Order: sequence, then C-alpha cells, then structure tokens
Amino acid sequence: MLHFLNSAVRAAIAFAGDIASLASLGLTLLVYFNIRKLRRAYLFTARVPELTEELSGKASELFRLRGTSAESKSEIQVLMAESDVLLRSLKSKVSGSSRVAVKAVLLATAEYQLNDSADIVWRVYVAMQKCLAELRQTQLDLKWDRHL
Amino acid sequence: MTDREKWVEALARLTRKTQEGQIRWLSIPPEEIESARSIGVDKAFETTFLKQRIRAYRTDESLLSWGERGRPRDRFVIEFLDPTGIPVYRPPSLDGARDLFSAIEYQAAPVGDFIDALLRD
Repeated sequence: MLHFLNSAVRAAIAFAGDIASLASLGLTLLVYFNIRKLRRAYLFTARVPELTEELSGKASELFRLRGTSAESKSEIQVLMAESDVLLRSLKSKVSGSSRVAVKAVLLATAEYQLNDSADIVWRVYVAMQKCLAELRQTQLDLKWDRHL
Repeated sequence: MTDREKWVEALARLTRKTQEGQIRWLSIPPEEIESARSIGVDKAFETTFLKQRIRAYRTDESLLSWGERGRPRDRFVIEFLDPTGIPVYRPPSLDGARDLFSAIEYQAAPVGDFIDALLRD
C-alpha cells in the first residue's frame, strides 16, 4: 500500500514537474518574444528615424538626378548602391508592413541592376516614397504605443 | 493598394508631370491663402489639372512671431480646391511633397528654362 502511495506521489510529482517545465518553457518564450519586441522598439526609436531621414534625402536626390545623361546615370548608380546598404540596414530593424515596404524597394533597386532605364529609376523612386510613408506611419504608431 | 499608397502614387505622378512640363504651375501671392498669416506661408503655387484646382505652398516658421513658433505644422502642403478656391481636401503629409515643391519652384523660376537650355547646348 505504502509502495503504491509512494509511486502515486512520485507520479504526481513527476506530472507537476512536467507541467512546471512546460510552464517555464512558455514563460521563457514569452520573455524571449517580449525582449525581442523591446529590442526592436529600442532599435526602431534609436536608429530608424535617422535612417528614414537618410532615405528621404536619397529619394529626393534620385528625383533630382532622374535623367538620361551618362553623367547622371553614373551618379544614379552610386546612389542606388548607397540606398541598397541603407535599406538593408533598415530591413534588419523593422518588422511587419514596414519590412514589406523596405523589401519592395530592395526588389526595385535589384531590378535597376538588370535594367537602368528611366522608368525603373522612377519605379525605385515611387517605391522609396511608399516605404517612407509606411515608416512615418509606424513611427507615429510607436509614439502612441509609448503613451499607452 | 491602401489609400496612403494611392496618394503616394498620385503625388509621384503630379511630381513627374510637373518635372516633364505637362502640368504648369502659377505663382500666387501667399495672401490668397486664408490662413497664410497664422501659418507663415512663404511661397504658394496653383494649377488646374484634369479640371481640378490644386494648390501647393510652403510654410516658413521664421515668418511667424515668436509666440506662434514651435507648433507642429506641415512644411509642404498640397490642397485640392473647389471651383471657388475653397480648400476641400488636404491629402496626408508625405515626404514626396518636398520633391513636388522643388519641381514646381524649378519650373516657376525664370532661370529654370535657361538652365535646361544651357545643359542641352
């Protein structure tokens, strides 16, 4: 009888241990996702506004250079390469719809490497503007998130 | 496509058509804008495209008195007007508005055509 109780207690303790392990795994995951969210929010607040301003400057410069002269083309190539680096940095710091918008600009800049026509340059410019609108909106949302 | 994306596309098209000379903007006195004095309008332009009157203006805080400075306000504003000149719609503020304004300024500046001719020469 004692042996039976002991085994029942042992089984109960083992079961409780399993439950506790699962609960701690859940808590660990919760902490992990919260820390990741905080890290993203911190990175976003610290770096993304600055990178957004830089991207805005690049878009304006691209608009100014948009032309067909050979000199402009080489300047546009340099600008596209700089923008590519900037966008990759942005991509690692944003998530959700902002990340989708950044990826769309990266796709457009990749398209420019295959075809450097004025139309593709314009497509990159429009994609940059859409991305800027998305990033500005996310920054506004985050401002509200901090107030809540 | 979201409304914001649509407006980004529309603004980009306005900018492109302005840059290519398909839309001609006219400079207007800032005083024509009702709130010009309270928001510090620096330069203003107007056009009609596809039967729609559109106004664009830039604000400059230095034109305001000290007491009125420091409030958040849009630097570049685009407005759709009704036939009597009353603003009926103001799209969301976007980075592209700055490029549209610079294209308008370039077009309206008397040296714009000269620079283009010089570069073609």
